[in-house]
Amino acid sequence: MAFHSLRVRSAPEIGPEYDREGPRAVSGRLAHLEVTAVVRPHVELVYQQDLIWHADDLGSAGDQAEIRRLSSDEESGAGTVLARFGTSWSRPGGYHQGDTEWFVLSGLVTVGDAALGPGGYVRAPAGKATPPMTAAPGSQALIFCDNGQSAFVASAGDWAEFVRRSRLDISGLPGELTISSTSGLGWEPAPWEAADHSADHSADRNGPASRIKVLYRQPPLTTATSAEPVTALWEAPPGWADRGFHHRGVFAEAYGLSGVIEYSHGRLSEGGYLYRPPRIQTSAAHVAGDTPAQLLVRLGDTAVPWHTSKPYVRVSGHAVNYDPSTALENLVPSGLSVTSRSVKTWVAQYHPRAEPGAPSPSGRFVNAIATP
Amino acid sequence: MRAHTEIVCTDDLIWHPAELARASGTARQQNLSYDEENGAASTRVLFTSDWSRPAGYHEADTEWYVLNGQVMLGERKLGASDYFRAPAGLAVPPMSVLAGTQVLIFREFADWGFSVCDSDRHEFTPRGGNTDSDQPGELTIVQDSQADWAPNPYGTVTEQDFQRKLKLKILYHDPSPVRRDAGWLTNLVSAPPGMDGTGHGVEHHHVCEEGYGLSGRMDYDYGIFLPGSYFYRPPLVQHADFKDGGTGHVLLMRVNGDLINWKTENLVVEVGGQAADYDPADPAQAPIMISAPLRSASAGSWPGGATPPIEAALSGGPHSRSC
Repeated sequence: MAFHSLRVRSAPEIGPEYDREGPRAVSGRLAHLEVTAVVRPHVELVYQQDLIWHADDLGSAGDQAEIRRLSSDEESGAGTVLARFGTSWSRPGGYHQGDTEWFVLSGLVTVGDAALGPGGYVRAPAGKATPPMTAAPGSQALIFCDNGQSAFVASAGDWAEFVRRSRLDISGLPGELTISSTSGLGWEPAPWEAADHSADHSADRNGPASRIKVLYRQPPLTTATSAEPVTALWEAPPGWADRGFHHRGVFAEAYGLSGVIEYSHGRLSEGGYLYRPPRIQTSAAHVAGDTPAQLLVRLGDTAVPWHTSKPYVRVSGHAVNYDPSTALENLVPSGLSVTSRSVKTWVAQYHPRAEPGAPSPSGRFVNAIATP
Repeated sequence: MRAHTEIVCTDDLIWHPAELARASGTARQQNLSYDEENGAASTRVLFTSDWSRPAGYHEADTEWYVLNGQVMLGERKLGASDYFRAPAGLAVPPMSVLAGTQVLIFREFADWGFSVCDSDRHEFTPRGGNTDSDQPGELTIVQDSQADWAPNPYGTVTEQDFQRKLKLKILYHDPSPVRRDAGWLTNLVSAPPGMDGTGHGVEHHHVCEEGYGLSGRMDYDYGIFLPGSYFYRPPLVQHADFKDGGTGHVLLMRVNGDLINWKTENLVVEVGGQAADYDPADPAQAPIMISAPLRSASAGSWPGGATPPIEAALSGGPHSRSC
């Protein structure tokens, strides 16, 4: 199904190349790019080593940990941080105010009697009692907090008699503490590839398949949805490629552990991070080099993503008093994703993907963002 | 880098412990915009107790704008609408703040670091992290900042009629006539009641632009901008012209250089493709090919709700709810 949409800031001037055949066209003009509130920014791509350290006690008795904020929601308090423990860190048992996950990157973290090395994982839904924890000096962990702030309350028991599986859960099923490790899990095919039998999409992936180790899979929270959020170790072998232009109806989050993924936003390797809100599109990706790429991924659902062919973004207008052929002067539509200095600048992020047309003497310009 | 933020409503944001080092007392802050690479930030701070800090210098170029309450800067008493700025490394007198005071605090080029000291960090203190001047940096204090408005010198030939209706109050200006990517401008911008600047196409700048609503209402393509509304717009990002919401409005605005209004007429942004396996008319499935700016729940959707006809989008119609 063809679709097209416009955002128009001044009197529209529809070029002859415009696709008028889509069933959604209204007199050749349509604006359905409305965007609902987004307070957790689209981050793609940042590298953790570019970010500053903040002091954070993570619920301990003192400032014994530091964090780098990879992504933050300043309205709900949700976010993802990289934590490092410079000294021996500990905290008593208690509960979190948000649904919380830890993934150990290096060192040693203990949760009660469980010792978690690299690949270790713990999840505690909001309000669920978590045993005392320690972290050896030099340890690093990713900490994900959803549906609430990251605050921790020392306590001998749960927050209440009944604790949900997630703060969004209305199933009536009790929440549980999950402790796991990638070392003890088996590989399974990436569900979104295994379930995708479309011949068109298979042509987009003509290399070997990727696979995952599921650290946590959240069964549907209500009868109204079949979405199953998942936290997993994802691995793509050398030669893996996805040439499709796709998006999901749910968020996607990833942190680079090893290997290199090359795609439209740059090179995602160790320490690289993205948080992609629902419906944001991404384009072709492949494993670079001869080693597998491993990412820690969190997805709002494992369903097959939606695909778009022949995508285009065209920005055109009449430049009154600037040179639209100059990247330092030509406009950017809005809202590019957050990147860090190791990746690209604001200007470079947009314009290298554009094919600026030579401005006419009248200042008319058309930029077509190249898409696969 | 900072995210394109447009519009967030400050009252929607969570509170953090205030990043005010070497101080006594308690305060908390809301992060309007934060650069996680260098620690620069724009914040609203509420002092929850009487607060004080000895003399010293900041790591960042630092600006305070008092929203209400009382701030003592050495012997100077600052109240609502008063402002001061200290470049990084310049010694600032001892400070004290009364409980309940609210201020906007802006940091540039560095984090919250503060060193207790009676003298400057170095013999020479630059005017700022983005200056092209060889003149020494100074402590800038502006009191009664909403008096003595000056004409607006900015605007293109085609928009001078409405730009002239704006009045400015310069709080800090570091001109850079040679290097247009250097310098600084922090000012108040006042629009008279009913001013209508629409119809001049869209606009963008080579500098970052940041605004906080102090009074009144502004209507523009991103929605309705009210007291407490905030935007941070990176370089080159377009925005449309605006009109006043009826009673006149005042914004605190900051730009990291001298402002040049680049105008575009007949701007069209076209997004399209062939949806292989989804319904592009379903709001839950339609793709977003260009990322969206950060936006508060209170600001509503952008450009607004159910698909508005273009005419409504252009008229500044019911794009969003108020903060």
